Amino acid sequence: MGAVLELMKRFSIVAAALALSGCVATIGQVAQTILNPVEDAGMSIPNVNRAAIEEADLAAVLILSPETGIASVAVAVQKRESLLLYSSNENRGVTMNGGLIYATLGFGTNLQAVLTQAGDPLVNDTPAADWPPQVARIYQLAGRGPSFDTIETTCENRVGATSDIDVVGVTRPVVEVVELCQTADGAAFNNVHYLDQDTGRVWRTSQWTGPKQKNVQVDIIDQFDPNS
Amino acid sequence: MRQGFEDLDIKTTFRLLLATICAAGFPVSTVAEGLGGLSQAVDTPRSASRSPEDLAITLDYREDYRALSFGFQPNTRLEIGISFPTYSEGSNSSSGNELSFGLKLLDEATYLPSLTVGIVGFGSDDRGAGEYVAFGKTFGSVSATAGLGWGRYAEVFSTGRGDDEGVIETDHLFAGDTEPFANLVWDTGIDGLTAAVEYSGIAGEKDDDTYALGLSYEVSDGLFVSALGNNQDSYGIRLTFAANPTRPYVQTDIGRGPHPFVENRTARPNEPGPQQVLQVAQERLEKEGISIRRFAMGADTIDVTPSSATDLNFARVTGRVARVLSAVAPARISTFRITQNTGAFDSNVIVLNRTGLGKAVSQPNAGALAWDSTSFEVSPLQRQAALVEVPFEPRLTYGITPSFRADFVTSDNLELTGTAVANARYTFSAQTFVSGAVGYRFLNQWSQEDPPETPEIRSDLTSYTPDEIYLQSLSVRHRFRVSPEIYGRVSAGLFERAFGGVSGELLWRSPVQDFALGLEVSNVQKRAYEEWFGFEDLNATTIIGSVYANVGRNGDFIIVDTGQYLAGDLGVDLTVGRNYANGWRIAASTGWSERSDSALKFGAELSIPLGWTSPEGGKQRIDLSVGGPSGDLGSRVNGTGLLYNELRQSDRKRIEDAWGQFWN
Repeated sequence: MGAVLELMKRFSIVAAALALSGCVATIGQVAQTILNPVEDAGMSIPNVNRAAIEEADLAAVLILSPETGIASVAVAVQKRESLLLYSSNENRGVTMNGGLIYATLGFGTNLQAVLTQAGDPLVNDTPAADWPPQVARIYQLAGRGPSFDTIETTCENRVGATSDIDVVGVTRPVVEVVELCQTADGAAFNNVHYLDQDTGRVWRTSQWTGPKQKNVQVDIIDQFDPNS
Repeated sequence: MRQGFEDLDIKTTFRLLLATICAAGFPVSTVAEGLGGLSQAVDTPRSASRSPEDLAITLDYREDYRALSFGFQPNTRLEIGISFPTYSEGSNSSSGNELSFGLKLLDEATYLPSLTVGIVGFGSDDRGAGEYVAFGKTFGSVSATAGLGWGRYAEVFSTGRGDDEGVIETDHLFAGDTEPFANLVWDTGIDGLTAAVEYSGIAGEKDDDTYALGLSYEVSDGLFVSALGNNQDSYGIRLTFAANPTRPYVQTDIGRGPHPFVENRTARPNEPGPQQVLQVAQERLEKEGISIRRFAMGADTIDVTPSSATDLNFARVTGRVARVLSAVAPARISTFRITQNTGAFDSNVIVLNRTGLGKAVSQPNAGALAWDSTSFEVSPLQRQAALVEVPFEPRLTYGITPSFRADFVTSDNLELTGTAVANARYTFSAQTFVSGAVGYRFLNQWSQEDPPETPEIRSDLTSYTPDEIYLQSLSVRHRFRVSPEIYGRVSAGLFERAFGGVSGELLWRSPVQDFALGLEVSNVQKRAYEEWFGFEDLNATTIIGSVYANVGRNGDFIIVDTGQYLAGDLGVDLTVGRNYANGWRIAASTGWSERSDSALKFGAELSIPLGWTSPEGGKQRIDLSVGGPSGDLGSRVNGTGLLYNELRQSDRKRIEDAWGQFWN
């Protein structure tokens, strides 16, 4: 718990610094704060047998939830239109809409769905330079009754530096994009994405998934290939 | 002092030690002060400042004043409070039972303050009743309120402002002298520490005006301790437990996730047979803590009666069963029928259209889409033959339950009783059991009274032997269904400490309706004050009809009971409350009797599921009640086993309220 609080504290401090400065130089700090939860949160990261995953030609992801301290490896089990459902042995999982975390199960307060605008660069692989300045999304969470509660958000993005990062044992050349987001009632959060430098495809992403579950990180171990 | 029924009806009981509740660790809500149950600084009103669904239980203790208060904010504008104050005046004391309302008429704007109107002690002009108009404005971490008060907010001893003698008195409202008041409440920024200062024009023994100071500290999540004092040499402490049912302290979904839903496909050769479907479904559902009590498979339907030992949200259980069935059922199966069982009854059949669920899953608004594919049916008395049906095994269950009752109002020194109750139940069948309870009062600060010459209905409570083991109850109960929609019960034995006899009940409820009707007839004899099985010379027959209705869209409910009560009086009881999808239940009640010219009592009940504070979930809960029936009038026998208490979790509205969890 202390580790989670410490993480939240760091998150808040850096978010505040960002709000004040708004400079790209700070973006890297935000990313590091969000994307390195493992040690602080004391998560037990499952061993990933990349060779076995690639041998079986499975689309797979590593999911980290700093808020709950749960980490899980999940493989793609269903494709429904543009949605790809990843599920683990414990039926924890995420549903991805391209690089957008569309839904979560078993990592805290489940995210039910995310509605987004046409041309959301996270949904359609988009090189960082071509991202629109602002994206609007609506998050749906279970509330009272059959209809889900909704949280409307708006995100502006900042493109950061290019670098090589290790994504579950493989080095990927990426460009960093940070989304500075705000909900309709004024709450702020950040998303951090590492995109393939050429295609804009997401290799690692940390996205807000609700006010209680907060950010969940997804590392793409092996991308889904519709032709395989 | 012996309690007559005139003052017993305002006796406050506090069934579970507040400290026990608080120690469980509940989430932070807001700093919720409240004499009368409404938002308050020290003694003066604040602009209504809580969030919807906030509730607070407050215990005030001062040399000349004590109060137990219950406050609830059902929506953004309304605060409701019930309080049980006692005022000491020299060697005398007086008590009250106040129902209070605060209504925020205007929200705070950039330059304009909010406007709140409050009525404390609605319906009477007894001491403690008062009204106010308050303007509120927030400046950073300081919230300021100023206003004008009548009644208790204008005089120290306010009483008798009107001539109205009706059951609900109104002619005194906002009448008589007025005094101004103002207060500042400052969130100091020091973790959990809030300070309040206030002024009121009320004159006291030391000064013509009153200035007060309060410091409040949140010692643990949701538990606040405040120190209060003023320039009239009055000092006190305040203990507040604040919570919001919609904001659980824990992450709610960190256990095993549900099985992925699989859309139906065209039939294949070698589709699984019923036995294979059952076996795979059992294996998968067991991992999610769900067992199959009954399973039947027809030409195009599967009928499952599931049971979960840990999940009290039946919508979620239904969803998980549907997910598993979607993966294992043959393609020809178009309908999943999930039967809800309460133990004694099959109460509902939730009928799920498989194709509809397939179109809903993973879609935006998937909960609403799944609801559109769902219908409710009554469970038939004769069901299709089952492939498996877990037989009922007779069993003995037992336990020891401590309970505490405190008289916060009518006693001068917070008389407290603590009782250990050992209970046991032998269940012969799903419908029939015999149960008994033996109690021992290990803590007794109540003043013991000799038995009265003529037995009384309830006001002789303190005449029952306190310091030896006593038989609390011993009765047999049988439940049955008369028709698919009519449920019945017969009970006989010693129902409670004061009464034993026979009781019968019929309840009509339909799975597709939002109301139910009940009728209970009981003939009881007053139990002996000392002997376990003896009776006193007092017989009573009660005939009470009940309407149970779910209303609105927020889990709200109304229960109206009316008929002949234990004293032979005709009366009406009204209970209003709110059920939450996560198992919280809040209710307040009052009653009238033909023999009384005022409302009999106000009571409040709170039921908190332990799953709200524990990620592991569970069906256990903490029940807390304040006030409620204690007088002779408008009182009914307890412990007979009202059927609706068993069936209310099956109400269609309960399932609908929780349906957001269907896909979880």
